[in-house]
Amino acid sequence: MTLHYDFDWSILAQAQYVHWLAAGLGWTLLIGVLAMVGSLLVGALLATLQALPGIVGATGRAWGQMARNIPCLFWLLLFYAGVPALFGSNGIPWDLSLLQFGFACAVGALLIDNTTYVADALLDGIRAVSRDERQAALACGLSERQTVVECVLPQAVRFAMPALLNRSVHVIKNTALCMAIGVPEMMWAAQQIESITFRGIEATLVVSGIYLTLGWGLASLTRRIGGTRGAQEAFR
Amino acid sequence: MMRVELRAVTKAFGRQCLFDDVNFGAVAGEVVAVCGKSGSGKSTLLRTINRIESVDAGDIRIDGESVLHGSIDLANLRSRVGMVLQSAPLFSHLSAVENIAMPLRRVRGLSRREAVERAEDALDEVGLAQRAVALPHTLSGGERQRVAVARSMALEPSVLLLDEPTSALDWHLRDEVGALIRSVADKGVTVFMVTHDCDFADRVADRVAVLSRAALHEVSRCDCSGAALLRRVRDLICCDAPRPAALAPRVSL
Repeated sequence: MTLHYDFDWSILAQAQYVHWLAAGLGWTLLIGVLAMVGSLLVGALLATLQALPGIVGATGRAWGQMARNIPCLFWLLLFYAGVPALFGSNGIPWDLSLLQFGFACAVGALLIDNTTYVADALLDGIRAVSRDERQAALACGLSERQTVVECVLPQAVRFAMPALLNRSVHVIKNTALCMAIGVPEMMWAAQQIESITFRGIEATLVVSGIYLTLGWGLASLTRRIGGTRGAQEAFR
Repeated sequence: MMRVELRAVTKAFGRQCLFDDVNFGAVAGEVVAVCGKSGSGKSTLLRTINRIESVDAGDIRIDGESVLHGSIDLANLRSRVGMVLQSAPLFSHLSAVENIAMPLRRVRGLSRREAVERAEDALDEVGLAQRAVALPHTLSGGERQRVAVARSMALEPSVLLLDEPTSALDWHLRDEVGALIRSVADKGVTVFMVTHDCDFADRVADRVAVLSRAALHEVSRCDCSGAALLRRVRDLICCDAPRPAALAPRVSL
């Protein structure tokens, strides 16, 4: 069996394409980091709501189910097409440029898509802290609040770290969906290069390599800074 | 005056009465052991003394002051009544010295430096100065038990509650923990421990009591000791338990 394709990697060395890929990497990282940080904050809020009784807890759980079961692409298209429709004929609200608006929609959609998983990871982390250790903290004379701050949360965050890292890799990968609304991230850059040069395989392979490096790098970083048994065992 | 006093203490979980009308006391520097079979309620009895568990009726007094008043400062009570839970849980994210220093900072309000110095002294007293920076999962069962005792003792309690201090320890580590308990009592601390290890209770405690059929029976050392005391404790523990069938020999010779 012979390969009927001649790879030409030199085409990717052209300044224009290097610039697109580098800028795409920047957008991918910016969207990924903002969506992850935002979903940590909103996920912590959602975890708190879900733990509460009554109508508040039920609302939190309903929100969680909605965010979990609806595809990320839906949220992207809803924000990108739905928000301008709501704001009338002018289209884009808040005097944003088309690029700024697409960027805001991308961060918002990825944030919502990721929130439930972050909330689940945080709740699992809290549940993983041994009941005996909480009782030991109380038996030492620590108040309920001190027990949570000094004993439960530091361990819960470490227990949740592998799952949160997993989610951050997913968020980085899901940024590729943002090309659907014209955000010039890495996948968009690869498609642009493909449409001009017909060298889509080379461009896509380079972008895949960058995604792989980012995911691998995140795992190594967490192993280094986490320094916990849970995180180390998860990636051993 | 009694350091710890239980007056007509009663506790039930639903329809199951764990203990009923328990009257008991211990003076300063005394080691008291409560034996009983698993599930008899002895750990629950211990936890009522520092209000980790509530009681249904009766009164519990430490140095003459009732701990059941609604207005009592629980954090203050628990720093005066130290407790080592079964399996000696340490805070797994903190090293041995930090396990002791953290409550000193948060409960006693010491500075970080003072707390670490006192924690190092406490570790030295239990013979673990060289293990100060070790994380709990690297410590042996006996070492964990000693760090947990040092953590409670660093808060300078007048009463120390020990829940099954020898569970999962081999005979050598049991002796280490037994010696540690005696040295704690020698400093005037009242030690109240529950255990199902009658032999250990006999060797370490000044007085032994048995919780059986929801009642606490004191087995005084004045009446008997050694083998006779052990027999009496076992009789009380086993009086409500069905006698197990004799095991058939696994190998015929």
